[in-house]
Amino acid sequence: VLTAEQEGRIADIRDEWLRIGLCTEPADRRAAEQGVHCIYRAAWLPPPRIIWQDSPGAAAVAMVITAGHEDWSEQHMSSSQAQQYWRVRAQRDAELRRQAEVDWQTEHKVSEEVYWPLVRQVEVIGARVQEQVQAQMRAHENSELWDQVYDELYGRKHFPLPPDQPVWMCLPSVYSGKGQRGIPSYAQWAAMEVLGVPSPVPFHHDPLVARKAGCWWRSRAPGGGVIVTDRPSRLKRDGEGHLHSADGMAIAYRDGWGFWCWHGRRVPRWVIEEPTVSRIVAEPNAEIRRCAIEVLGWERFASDAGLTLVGSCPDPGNPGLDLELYDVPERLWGSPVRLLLAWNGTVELDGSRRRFGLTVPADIAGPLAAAAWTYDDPSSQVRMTPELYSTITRRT
Amino acid sequence: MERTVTAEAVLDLLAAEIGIPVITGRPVPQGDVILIPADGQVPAATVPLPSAGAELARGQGGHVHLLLGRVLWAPGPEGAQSVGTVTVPQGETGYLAHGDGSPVSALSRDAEHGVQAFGPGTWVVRRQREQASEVRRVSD
Repeated sequence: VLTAEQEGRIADIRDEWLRIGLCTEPADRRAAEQGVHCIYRAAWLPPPRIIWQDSPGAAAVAMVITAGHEDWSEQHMSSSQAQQYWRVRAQRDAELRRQAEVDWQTEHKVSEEVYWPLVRQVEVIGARVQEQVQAQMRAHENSELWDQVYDELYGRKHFPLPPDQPVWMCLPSVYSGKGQRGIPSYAQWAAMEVLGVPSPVPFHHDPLVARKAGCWWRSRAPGGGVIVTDRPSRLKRDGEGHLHSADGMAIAYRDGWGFWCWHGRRVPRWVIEEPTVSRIVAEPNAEIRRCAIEVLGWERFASDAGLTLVGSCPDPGNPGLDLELYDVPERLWGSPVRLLLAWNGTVELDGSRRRFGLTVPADIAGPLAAAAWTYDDPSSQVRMTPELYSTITRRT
Repeated sequence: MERTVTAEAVLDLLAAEIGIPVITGRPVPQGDVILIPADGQVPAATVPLPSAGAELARGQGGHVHLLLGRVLWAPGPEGAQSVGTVTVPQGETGYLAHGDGSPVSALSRDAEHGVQAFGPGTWVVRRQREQASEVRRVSD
């Protein structure tokens, strides 16, 4: 059971890491470098050469350019002194964790309040960035280039190492390319420390880098070294926390690298900046088509694409205005749906009134049933029927 | 002696002044959020709503649908389409305000959705949904 004071401190830790994960200030390069040095020192390694890059895109290219063939992992596996040290530390920490006597329900509660919100809000952004780097490399004419980068970024070659090797464990960021993507774990460990549970030893210094810079990886350049990236300069999200921007890139870095997103889905530039019906029809990916239709706006799409009107009726929530239901060709949307077009309840400041479109299942027969469906919840005892919807008050 | 005026008191006055009807027994929509009368269909809420209100939904420019009033509130599970249950005691009024998250912003002229007022009873607060490749909550 958590005390009120512990609950407060745990909420503060989550909020602090949320701010860090969504930060768009330039990296604090000196502090980040000190963090990297701490990680190397803890592993009995000399301070590495640090190569700064302005974006993950630039970092991926830099890795390919600097890639060498030194077998770095074996070199450090040979440090028996370090292995011995980490083994002792790990045993001591396991003992401390036992003594803290935190039951699993409490640990579960902490992860519900700290770990999972940060996965949904922050880690997901790192995942989109990683996908974008991958997609760019795959699109490159030289696919070997991508294979090399993949090895660099995700350490495929290193995973056959035995999992009980503490020296391997003590450089987790360097192997898995975490940094910002480790934020949910760093916050969870910080929260568990409030309950007296120490962080796993090999990871003690990882949060130092994540606090001050973007993602970072070990470089296999001759002589070693790590590549550290700056943070984004622009990061736009929707109300649900998904990367999203209707004007320009959703995430952009100081060297101009970045990408466009619509409610969390990475989309090509044209979808956000120049959507047209002809481009939408030519787009093979259904999800991208859907995004582009939403960017274009359902009203414009319904007229430009010549959708068929199924029916219309007065909107009970908007006296004097109609609800309209249209058929949407399945080849356009990718799944069978109908489109409900309604008018906004509130007039804009300039006196105009906007329309909005919502997609509903294709088996809904009429506009009133469609409007009711949008407010229904089959998992609730309280259902919204067309009859109840027709008694609705004026929508604001 | 200093006196603090609560957001509820201001809203009560304004609602009366500008003639916002206090609705009972009919669904009350505000953008992509709706209140559905649910007396006897779900357990009444029992915990007083904090005076800062409860955020029901947050839209793209950071706009918030805010629940206000001397009412009782039981939030639903995170991410659910039915976001909670609100019970208005006899003699009280609940409010749906839309703004930057502060009660007063809901009264500004450029608020996207007007204030809604609702009367005694138990109501289910629900988000709107749409059919994309799967069913999802609407975020306006």
